[in-house]
Amino acid sequence: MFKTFSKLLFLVLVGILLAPTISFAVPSFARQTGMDCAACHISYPELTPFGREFKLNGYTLGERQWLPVAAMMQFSVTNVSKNHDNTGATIMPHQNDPQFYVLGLFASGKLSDYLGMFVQWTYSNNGTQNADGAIRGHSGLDNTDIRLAINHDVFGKITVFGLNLNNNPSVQDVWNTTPAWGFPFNGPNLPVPGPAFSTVIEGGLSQQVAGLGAYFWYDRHLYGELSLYGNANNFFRVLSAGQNWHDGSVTRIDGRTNPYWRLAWNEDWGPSSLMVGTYGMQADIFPDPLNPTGPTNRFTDTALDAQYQYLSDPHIFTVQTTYIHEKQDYKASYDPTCDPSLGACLNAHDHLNTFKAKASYLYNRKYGASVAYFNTTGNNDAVAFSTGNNPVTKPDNQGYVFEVDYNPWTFARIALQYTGYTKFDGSRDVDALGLKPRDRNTLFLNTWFAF
Amino acid sequence: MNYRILMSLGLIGMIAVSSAYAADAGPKLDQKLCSVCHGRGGTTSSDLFPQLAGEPAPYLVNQIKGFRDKTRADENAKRFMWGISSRLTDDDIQQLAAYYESQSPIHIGKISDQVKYDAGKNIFMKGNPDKGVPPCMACHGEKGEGNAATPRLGGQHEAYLKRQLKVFYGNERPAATAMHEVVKGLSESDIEAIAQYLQAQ
Repeated sequence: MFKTFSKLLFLVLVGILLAPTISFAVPSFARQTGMDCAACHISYPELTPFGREFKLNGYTLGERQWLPVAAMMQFSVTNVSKNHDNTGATIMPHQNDPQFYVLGLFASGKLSDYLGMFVQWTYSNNGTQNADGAIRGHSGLDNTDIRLAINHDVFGKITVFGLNLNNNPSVQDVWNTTPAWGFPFNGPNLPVPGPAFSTVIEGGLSQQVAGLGAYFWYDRHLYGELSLYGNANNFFRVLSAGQNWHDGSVTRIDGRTNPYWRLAWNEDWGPSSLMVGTYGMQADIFPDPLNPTGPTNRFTDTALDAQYQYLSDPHIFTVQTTYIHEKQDYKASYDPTCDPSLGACLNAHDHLNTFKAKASYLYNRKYGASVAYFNTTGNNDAVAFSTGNNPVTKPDNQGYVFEVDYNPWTFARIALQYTGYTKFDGSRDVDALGLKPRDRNTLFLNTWFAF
Repeated sequence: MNYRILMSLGLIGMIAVSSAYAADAGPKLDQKLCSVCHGRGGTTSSDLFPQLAGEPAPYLVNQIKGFRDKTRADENAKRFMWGISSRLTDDDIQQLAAYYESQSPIHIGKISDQVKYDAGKNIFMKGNPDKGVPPCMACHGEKGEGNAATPRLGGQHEAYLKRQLKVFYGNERPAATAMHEVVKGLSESDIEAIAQYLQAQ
């Protein structure tokens, strides 16, 4: 235990030594605007009203930098409650072992008065796991958002019109309720136990697709957007750099017009900012990712979301919540001749419902605490919702996250995060691996620096 | 293929429209930039940011130029205003200042502590001669309405007033030479009292 902490202490000290060269959340944005991270971020990556304006206006405020680059580094320690199943197999390597975790490089900033970008390249030190269980590093293009925005008066009210190119549905969004920038903002990249089933929009297509969309932001009240997605191959290949297209890990969707939509109403008054909205996506997914031809299954996600922020000095309080309903139509994979007495059969239709809520308090922009709850439910499907480890074949998951943060400077954060499960992959009981949901509980200590 | 052509046309169209657009100073800058934090017409009700409506133009010009040349260096000036002001021209600053001077401030502050309010009123009206504190109203006007390079204080947010008065204990607003002398005679509780009085004006 002592050895673990001394190693971590060493990593923190290295970070502090690097601190004089550190400037500021995406530091190249801070250098461009001349502003502190605090102008746009409550605590990275959560945006303030000003941060939302900056993003919706195409990251164009300020002076264009000759080299708009920045970097981010993280070191972490991860602990899984029970790290062996009943076969004796290790669930997660590097238990309690301080790890260099992630290096992120950003090319982010203004390109012209109307054009700007957010591009992140990430090296994840524990990015992938081989078949033999060994962990190795992996690098690739991370979240990318390139936009063109202009201002124009509509009915005497200032309105932003923009075009957007990105590689992850909802990465373009400016409220921290949608999946790409929602809570938890950070988590272990070691192969910690995680729920097997989630909706497609919750990262199911990230860095595998290219979406082009148009949006408006009317009078700082009404936001509307329509984007169309296709796989990030051929012309758009660069947006999926780092993905392996030959091992079946990339979800293949049909055509280039899988729609993502967003409508939100925002009201700012005094120290308060409130948003109520809806978003969603429809994706036509090929059953076999290695043979993207023929009929597809249709996944339709419809979501409601809301955010409230109270921004004052020294107290900051924020709440985010979202509810996602997914309809799965297995029009390609469903076999009406399948006989359940001979084996498991796929349903023609399935559904998933996910609810997430999170509340955070931040004092003096230094000391923070967050609590979150998540709950996913769905119907029974012996094929689609089977992990093979549980007699219950439902996608159900339920749990909570507690996090405390210390932000000594705006460019650094130390966070201790505890994720607990009360229902895991369909059940509250012990599964075939001899594990209860709470055996998957994960403690994650992380230090984060940006410069 | 069609998709690519459509995208190119869209981009070209956007660039064409955008080049026809040019920024306008004063109300335009307020609408586009300043109002995100300071509220429309400088009438924010958030105590993180000061109300600007009704501030005398010469005071605003001095402050914005102070942010631009980084001589005003209190924490929030550094956080927010240094960056925002860096691209404003002298002409932008003049037009912005004239615009805010012409706006009517909102008065939302209410008396929450009568004892503090009375103590604050006393200092504001009569000063504290024993400690060398002159009456605030001598420069800031009878109702704290301000005059030329002296700011309006009446109706300003309590948290902002307190924060700034405490800034004068240090040297992060070197241009405010008079205030550096004045605060030498003000205790923290005097500052709380003055802020309680002024916010309710």
